[in-house]
Amino acid sequence: MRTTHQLVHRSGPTSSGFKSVSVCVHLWLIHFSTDSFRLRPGIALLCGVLVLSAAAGTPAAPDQPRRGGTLRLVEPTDLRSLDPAIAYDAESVPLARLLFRGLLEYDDGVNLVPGQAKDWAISADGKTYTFHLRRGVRFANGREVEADDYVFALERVLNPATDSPGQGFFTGIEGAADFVAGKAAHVSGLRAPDRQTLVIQLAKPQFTFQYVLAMTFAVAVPRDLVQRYGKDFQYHLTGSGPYRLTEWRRGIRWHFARNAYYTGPDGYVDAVDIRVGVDDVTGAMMLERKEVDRVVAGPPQAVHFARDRRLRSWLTRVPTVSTDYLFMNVEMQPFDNVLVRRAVNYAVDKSRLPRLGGGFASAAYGIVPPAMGWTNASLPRYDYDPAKARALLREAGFSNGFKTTLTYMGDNPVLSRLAEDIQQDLQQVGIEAALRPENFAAFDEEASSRRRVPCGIWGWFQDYPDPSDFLDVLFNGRYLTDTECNNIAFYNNPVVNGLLDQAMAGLNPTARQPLFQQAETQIMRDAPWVPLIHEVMPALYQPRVHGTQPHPVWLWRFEWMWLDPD
Amino acid sequence: MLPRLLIRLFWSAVTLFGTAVLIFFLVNAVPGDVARIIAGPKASAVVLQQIHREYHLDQPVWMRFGYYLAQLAHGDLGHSYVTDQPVARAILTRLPVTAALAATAVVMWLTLAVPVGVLTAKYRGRWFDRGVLVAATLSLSLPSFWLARMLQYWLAYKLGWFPVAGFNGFVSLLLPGTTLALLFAGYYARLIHTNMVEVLESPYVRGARAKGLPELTVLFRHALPNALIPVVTLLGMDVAGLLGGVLFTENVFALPGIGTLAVQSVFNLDVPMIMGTVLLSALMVVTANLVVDLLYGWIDPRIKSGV
Repeated sequence: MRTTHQLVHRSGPTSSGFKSVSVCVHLWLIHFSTDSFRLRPGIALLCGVLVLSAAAGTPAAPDQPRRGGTLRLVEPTDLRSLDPAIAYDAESVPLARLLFRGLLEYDDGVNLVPGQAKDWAISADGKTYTFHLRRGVRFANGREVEADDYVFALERVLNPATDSPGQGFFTGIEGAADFVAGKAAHVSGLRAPDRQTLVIQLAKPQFTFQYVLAMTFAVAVPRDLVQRYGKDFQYHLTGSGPYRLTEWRRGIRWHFARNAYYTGPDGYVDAVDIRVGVDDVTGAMMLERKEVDRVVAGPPQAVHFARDRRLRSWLTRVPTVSTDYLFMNVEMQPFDNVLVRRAVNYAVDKSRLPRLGGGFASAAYGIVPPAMGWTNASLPRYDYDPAKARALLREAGFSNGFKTTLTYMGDNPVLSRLAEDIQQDLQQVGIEAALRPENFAAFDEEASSRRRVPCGIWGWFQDYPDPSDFLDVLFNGRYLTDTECNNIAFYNNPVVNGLLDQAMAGLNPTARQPLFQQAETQIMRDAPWVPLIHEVMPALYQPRVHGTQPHPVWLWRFEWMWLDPD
Repeated sequence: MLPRLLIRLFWSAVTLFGTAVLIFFLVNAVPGDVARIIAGPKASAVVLQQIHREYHLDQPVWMRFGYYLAQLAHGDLGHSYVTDQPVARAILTRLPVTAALAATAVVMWLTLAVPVGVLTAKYRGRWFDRGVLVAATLSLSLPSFWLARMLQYWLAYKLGWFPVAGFNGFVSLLLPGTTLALLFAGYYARLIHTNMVEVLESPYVRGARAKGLPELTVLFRHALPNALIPVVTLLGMDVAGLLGGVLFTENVFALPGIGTLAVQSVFNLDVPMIMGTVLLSALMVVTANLVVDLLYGWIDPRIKSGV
């Protein structure tokens, strides 16, 4: 389902064409009202000149893309890599897409459309995917993309030596387990019967696999170049996307120029230039001084732009398909008691939470974000009710409340503010939560380990637009492990597990949805989480930049942006 | 002199080794699995184990220090955990910008501090002297990041006199250089003032005046060189400190120098890069200390070199 977002409508100056026409109309009225035959030819000539010059000089209307110009961006820190096997964060992926393309794409919403595959078919049992590649699709070095390049790319992601964070998405391919364990030289489920045909065989049906193939992990890479350069391929990135990397000075600058072999409809700007090391305060100032074209703002800068009448139209709110949440470890006291967990849900005042991000967030009442196009009318509501929270705590045997620690990522400003606010809410109902900020690595290690963190605050961003990416990954008790566990509430309800397994085995989206809805409803009744907010990223664009509409999967698509003429 | 030089070099090496030990164990004491930073939050257990093996993260910390020392012995500062870039190459790429910024700042603050210091000594006790004293105290009190941000806001953002940030040649160094110059000039002016006051009381200065030499000649040709001797020492140490990276100023102005590299490496818990930038800073200070001691003896032959 397409999501609606606030769009930036630019109210620019009246075009020179309109001015010319209005002058001409006035002159024509004079022409017909004057009795002087000496004036009439002159007026007619002047009108003709004005009309011709207007036709020649009228700039493109804002909704008509044009080619040309350099899009200037900034990043606060250097990107680890744009190698598609490695790139896996909100900043790297949109840039990796400038260089690389894959079998499938998304339309302006969450629907999959053919990419470099002109068509594809899924067998009736859901285990065999057959793709026919378009002819004439070339890498930036001129070589045509072949099916073997996809086989190579997917094996590369699965190969433990690559250290790819995307490996887990492809272990459902037949033969992947043996390949990862080193028992097989290749993945038996990946075949290229001819240069234009790719066949992927899964070990069992997986409805979401088509979404996985739209991720940047599954794009084509030139196998000859990767074999030549090995790990240094990241310094010789060559893809089949609209751009190629022409300069990469680590921590300083990235520069992308047009890929001459690309024939797709996108890729309007001639070049993309990125300066690294610019924080959001500096970036906002540079944007106003027209030194850069786009900045992802921090809340203070976003509020400044939102309140300024001149700058307001520069702001685009980009809803992220994400949920920030308070998790309670159901294996640790007192959160092993569902009454306590429900009490915590009633204790949190969600009406204040969106303001903590400067107004750039929406309160969350469920697990799966609505921005995914998700609805669930049967979710229980835990509206703010401290009296009810205290009553539930008394019923659970905690009339005097209890003490606990609230762990979170201290260097994340949004999560830090959430933690401080929630601490106050919990205090109102007698729960003394000591704040425990940690760095990312420490938090991730502890929270994902059994019985180490009683409660904390974390967030989850979607990988692909399917509710399983939240519900099955984060709540299916069958995937619980002692360490590196995504289900950091360590929630395990056999009923929910059964619903999720049934939904995951299904191939009919209409049949899957009610199962996921039932699972989510039961999870919310069991209350291992308090969903807090769905984040909204404030992106600032100069008025000369168009095509900035947010995308529900990629957030932003630089390849579809275009610039006014200089 | 040679034996003393060798002894100094030996103790310099010991200092650097001690710095390496201290920083390595401090950084590795920070909680958290670095492999998760490298691979991201959704990496599988297999990938995390692979990274542990590759970077020896599954070894005890003292063994990891041994690997690091072995690398250092071969001139290898290791690879960044985050970008996989060789640390030495990353530092060398950034050094020119930091050096250019340091040079610009030094020229600016000396251009300001020397005449001001001389004149406040000449007109000691007058309003000019007292005004400079207040200004110097203020400049010492200002936080560098605040001053940088204020100059950036008013002179670049509001007035548009300078680029807001980034490095596009010499003009990009003017505002950051001014920031540093304002922070250091006050202290140097007072230091020169103090030394000049002492030197101006010297018999040879009285003698120069008695000879009827022009006052400017007395001040700048006869008095100032002697007043600058202690300044040379301090200047050497300050320049070394700047070459190790100007953290706040470089970050505010988004200059691609060692300062921004150091800050980013701390945020990313990028241990090899942290070690590299800290060791560079230590090397700069130790080297500057040694060079200044040598220069001291050359500038003033009456002083036996500390070497």
